[in-house]
Amino acid sequence: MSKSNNENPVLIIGGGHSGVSTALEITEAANKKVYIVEKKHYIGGRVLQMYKYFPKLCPPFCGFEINVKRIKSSISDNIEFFVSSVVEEINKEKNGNGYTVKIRQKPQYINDNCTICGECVAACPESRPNDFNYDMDMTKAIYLPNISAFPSKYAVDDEYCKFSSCKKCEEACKYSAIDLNAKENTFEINVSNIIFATGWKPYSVEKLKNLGFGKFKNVITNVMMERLAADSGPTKGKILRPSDNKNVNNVVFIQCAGSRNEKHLPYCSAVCCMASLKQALYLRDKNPSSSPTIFYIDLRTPGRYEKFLNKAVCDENIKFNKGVVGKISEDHASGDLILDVEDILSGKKIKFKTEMVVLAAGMYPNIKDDLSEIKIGDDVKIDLDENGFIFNENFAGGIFSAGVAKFPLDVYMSGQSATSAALSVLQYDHNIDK
Amino acid sequence: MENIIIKTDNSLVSYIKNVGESNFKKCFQCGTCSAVCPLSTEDNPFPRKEMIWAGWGLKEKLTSDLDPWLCYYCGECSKNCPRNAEPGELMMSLRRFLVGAYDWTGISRLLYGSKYAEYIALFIVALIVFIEWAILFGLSPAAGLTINQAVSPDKVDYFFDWPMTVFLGAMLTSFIYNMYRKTVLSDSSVKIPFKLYFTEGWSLMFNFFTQYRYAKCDDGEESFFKKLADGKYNFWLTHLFLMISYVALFIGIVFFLNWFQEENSFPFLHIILFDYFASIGLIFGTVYFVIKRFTKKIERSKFSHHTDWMFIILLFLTALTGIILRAVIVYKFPTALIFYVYLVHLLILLPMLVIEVPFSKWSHLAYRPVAVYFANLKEKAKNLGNVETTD
Repeated sequence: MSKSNNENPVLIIGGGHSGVSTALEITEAANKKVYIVEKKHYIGGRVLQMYKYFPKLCPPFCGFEINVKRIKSSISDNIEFFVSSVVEEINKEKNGNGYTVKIRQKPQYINDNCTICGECVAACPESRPNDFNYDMDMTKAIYLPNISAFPSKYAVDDEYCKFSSCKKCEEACKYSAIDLNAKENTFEINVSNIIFATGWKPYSVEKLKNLGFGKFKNVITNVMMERLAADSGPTKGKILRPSDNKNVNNVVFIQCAGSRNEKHLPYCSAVCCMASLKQALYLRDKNPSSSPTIFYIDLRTPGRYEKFLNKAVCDENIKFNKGVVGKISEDHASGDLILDVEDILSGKKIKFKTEMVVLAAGMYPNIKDDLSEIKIGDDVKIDLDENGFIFNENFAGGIFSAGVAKFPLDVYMSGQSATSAALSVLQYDHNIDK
Repeated sequence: MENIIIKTDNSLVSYIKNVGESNFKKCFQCGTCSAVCPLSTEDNPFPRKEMIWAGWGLKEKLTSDLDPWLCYYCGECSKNCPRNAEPGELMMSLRRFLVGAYDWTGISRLLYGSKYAEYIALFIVALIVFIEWAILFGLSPAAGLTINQAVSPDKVDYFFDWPMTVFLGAMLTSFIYNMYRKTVLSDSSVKIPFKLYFTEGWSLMFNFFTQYRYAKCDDGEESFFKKLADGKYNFWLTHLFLMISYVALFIGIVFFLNWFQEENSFPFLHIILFDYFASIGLIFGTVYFVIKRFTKKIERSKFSHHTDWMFIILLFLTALTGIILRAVIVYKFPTALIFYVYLVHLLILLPMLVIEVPFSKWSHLAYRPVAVYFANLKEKAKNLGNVETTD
């Protein structure tokens, strides 16, 4: 059991809530080396983009800060991060157990000298759409990925930076933290276990042609709503609609936008009902004169979440309509939206006018697309189900998964799946020892 | 709370499943279909409610429902259905079910249930026609006779066309009365003032001769002429052309049969109108629909039941043999040849009419406009405030 920490390292692909939790669970239980490969410049993943969690309606920062503190206090570098990195190849090690993994890390233009002073941002002449806020606002080409960014430093968007023809940020930096000549770095590591914690992205709801996302400005997604509500978001926490920055009262939530749809995502995304209820509640909180309406097929709030539903139902200004929207059209003059929908409980078809529509975009597994970009050795077995989720735990091979890579989960359940994956790694070690 | 007893009928569910290809059991009642339907109205949305009625086999609800006839299978529902449950095809299946429900003889249900039943029914009628023909005109024409002498138009009228017309009329009338009973009289919430039957009569004629609801399938904002130029009305106009041609020819053979046996190759204007225009209509229409059913590019032609194929093929063959018959008469072919072509033509035409018009697909010619008429009556009566809770 008592192996030195480098002998059986673990690779976790994805540094979101599930990946980080798994890493912490492993390193806090055993003296093991864990690598986390994260595509973005920061760890924390999707939860950092949330305004509040359900059902407690607390902000995600506190949980994340605790995790960062746990990381910092972990035993001597047991957790190592490769941010802005992707896995290129996974091969079985020739001598038997474990895998050789090739990782490509994009150029690290900013080193750890960075103090987030902001001089570089002031100097930077280029701007880029802010993907953290789902492109609803802009940042400079050198930017702080988000207010809780960890590692705590700026990032350079190489699509928008002019590099050698500009270099204004390099000149502005007092700490020599910027090197625009940095090169990308490809290297190999050997690990005994791999955990896919690759997470999800919101479904491309523009594919739902009848709902007009991308065509009508005031049709947004649930994840965009989180940014509108967040204090660090594009509207500084005021829920204003995109077309004219007007404060909205009459907001519609449309459930199952993509989910439970055989032409899009055939499965239930598990979180959207709770997410829309949460958003309706905080909208009511932020704007007491607001009256959200939720259009649903059926509301899925299992177990203790039923209480949360009751909380929303008890608010007389939150309306519910059984029956989802068939078609959205726009009143061009006002930017308001007109929805064609059946109110199933009364049996009438209605035209519902609203100021803004929030689509409950389903969860699309990242691994479905990412796996095609990883070269995987013939003897390495990773199986996706027909929806793109990892469906078998390859216990014999030491490959596991956590979070939404397995199936749609909320934050709380992702935490549980992380513990489960960590336990699988420890058990795997134990079995190998025997 | 009031107890509601729901009577479900599993055999009805499987019957509806068998007469079409809808996966209506997959429906989870999201309401998308009703919401996107360009034809359903605010007070009376469909086909979401029909999906659950069919899924549960609610016979009374289904037989008293006029909405399947108000549906023209635009296909928006099927295109947008998240479960691929094909609500448009369910409405088609329900129309097949309703033809059987109005028909008190039970023949329609047999024909829709099995293609062999349809073959046998057509064969029996053809056999009767053959025997009749043999008795009236023999099996070969006597030498030296013209076709008008060998096959007298009067005899064809008396022994074929008119009895057939009376039979079709009687059958359809009784079935429509049955439909009226099930859909209008059974609805105790509406009492229709007598006057309305006349004032709403225009909707019957209007819908029969224009099939205007087809045009409403496209609810885009473009102008009528833009849609026309884009071909969005092609299906409607072809269907209308086919129907007008059929009606013209039907009236022609029943009342003016001697025109068709006229040997003059430069016929009168009315012959040109009736014969040539209508023949083009039938051939063009049937070929168009066969192509649509083969290519399956539009929703309403995606699925074809055996009754759809049988009807369209018989109609095509009727038109084809009719044109050949007219050609051999005009070009003065030997009487013996005309005699046999005539027989073949009747062996196709009469079974087609006797079986298809009252008992199968062709009956929609009557049920569709009548259903629009009934629906209008009910809606107007409701608006007049004649809503009563009990009868």
